[in-house]
Amino acid sequence: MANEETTIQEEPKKEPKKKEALFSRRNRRYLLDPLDDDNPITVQVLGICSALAVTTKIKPAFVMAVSVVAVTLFSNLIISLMRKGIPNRIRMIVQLTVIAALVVLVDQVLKAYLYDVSTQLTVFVGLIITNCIIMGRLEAFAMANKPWPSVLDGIGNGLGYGAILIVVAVFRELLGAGELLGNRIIPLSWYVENGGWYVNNGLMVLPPAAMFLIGIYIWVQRGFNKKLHNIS
Amino acid sequence: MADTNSTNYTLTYAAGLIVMVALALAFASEYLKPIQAINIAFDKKTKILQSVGIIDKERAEEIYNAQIEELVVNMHGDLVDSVQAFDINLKREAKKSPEDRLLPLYVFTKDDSSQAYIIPMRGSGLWGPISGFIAIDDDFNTIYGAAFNHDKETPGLGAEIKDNPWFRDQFPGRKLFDDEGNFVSVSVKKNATVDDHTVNSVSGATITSKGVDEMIRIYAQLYLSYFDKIKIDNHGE
Repeated sequence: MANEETTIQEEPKKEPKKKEALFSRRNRRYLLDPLDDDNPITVQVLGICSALAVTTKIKPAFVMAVSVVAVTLFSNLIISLMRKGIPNRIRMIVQLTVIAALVVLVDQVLKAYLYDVSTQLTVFVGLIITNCIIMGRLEAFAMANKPWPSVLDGIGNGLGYGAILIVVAVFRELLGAGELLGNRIIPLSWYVENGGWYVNNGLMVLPPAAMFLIGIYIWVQRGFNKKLHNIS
Repeated sequence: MADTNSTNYTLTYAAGLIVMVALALAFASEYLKPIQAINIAFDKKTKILQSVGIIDKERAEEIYNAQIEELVVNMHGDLVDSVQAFDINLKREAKKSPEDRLLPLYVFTKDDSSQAYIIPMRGSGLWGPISGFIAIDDDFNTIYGAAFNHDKETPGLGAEIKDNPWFRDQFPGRKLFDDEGNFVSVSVKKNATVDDHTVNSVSGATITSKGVDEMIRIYAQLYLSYFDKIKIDNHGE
């Protein structure tokens, strides 16, 4: 995963005006920007590794997405609450400790309540720790912002990541296995084995397929979203 | 607020954080352990059934209770009554001296009332332990089926031993003994032509495949004296 630069969003200057509404225009942007204009995968190009690995089926992709949302949400919240007390010299270590603790918790909860999925995700749950998106958001956002905007930013980035995972997984499961969420979509009678004309696309079950799909997604997204036209 | 850059503050902060995180994780782990144990036990049962070709998860508990009998034997092939086969920890047993070692064995009664003997196995993969069950027909030679499991092999590579039915489907019909009756086990080899004693390894997962190879060789051998005893008993009838 490349170490991409993320723009640091500074805390706005304190204005003596009345308290900001929970879902003010700016707060809504924290939540919604990462879904499209500032998507962690397609625009910031972070978290690609796990996006390739866990998207062969929709179910693990969904669980991975939910796990990452949980981790970004709580790590952003906790770091934001602690931000004034964190000693600068061990800042990164503190962030990493918080992320690692949350990931271990997620792993334990999955093992207890979603054992099947946890055996499919295996090492990738542990690897959420190294997902650049999370550390990136802590450094770029939670360290400099109040808890509530940080929570929104965490949810937004988690969802932005998850949305791409689901989109990629839908294509991979449909074209690679002819199913969606384990339900057969392409009728068995179409298959060559049964005298039809159709074969599953073998590439779709392999990780490179996700690379192509994400590439196509970026292309389409930049075609439609004018804000992304002139960024490098 | 204290000076957040002083050494004392930094050290105290780090220590405090670690203690809190450790407490939180210890509490969560203790709380969730019983629920996880139920899942792990059920998973083990489904794996045992998978090795004899039954993949119906909903009826797993029922089929297991009806068609699987648990036995414990020792290295001399005698039955041991004092322990439950299902609770035996293979890792712990492997460390004991051969004399004290307990060997769990699961006997599956097929629909035609002949039997298959399921041997639990444990070995090492690339990143961590791997385990499995291998079912042997009542000629004590032909393999009836196999199922594998792993802790942290790479999805798409080592994890294929569990995830890809192609790998375990190679095992039925392989044989443990050659024509002269010598134990040769089943080898897992790269680009092999599948014959009586060879199956293909998973490409890109040489070490995990080697682990499977060794695991079968070591564990199948442990049960030979028990199998010899049953063979004699059956003959006597």
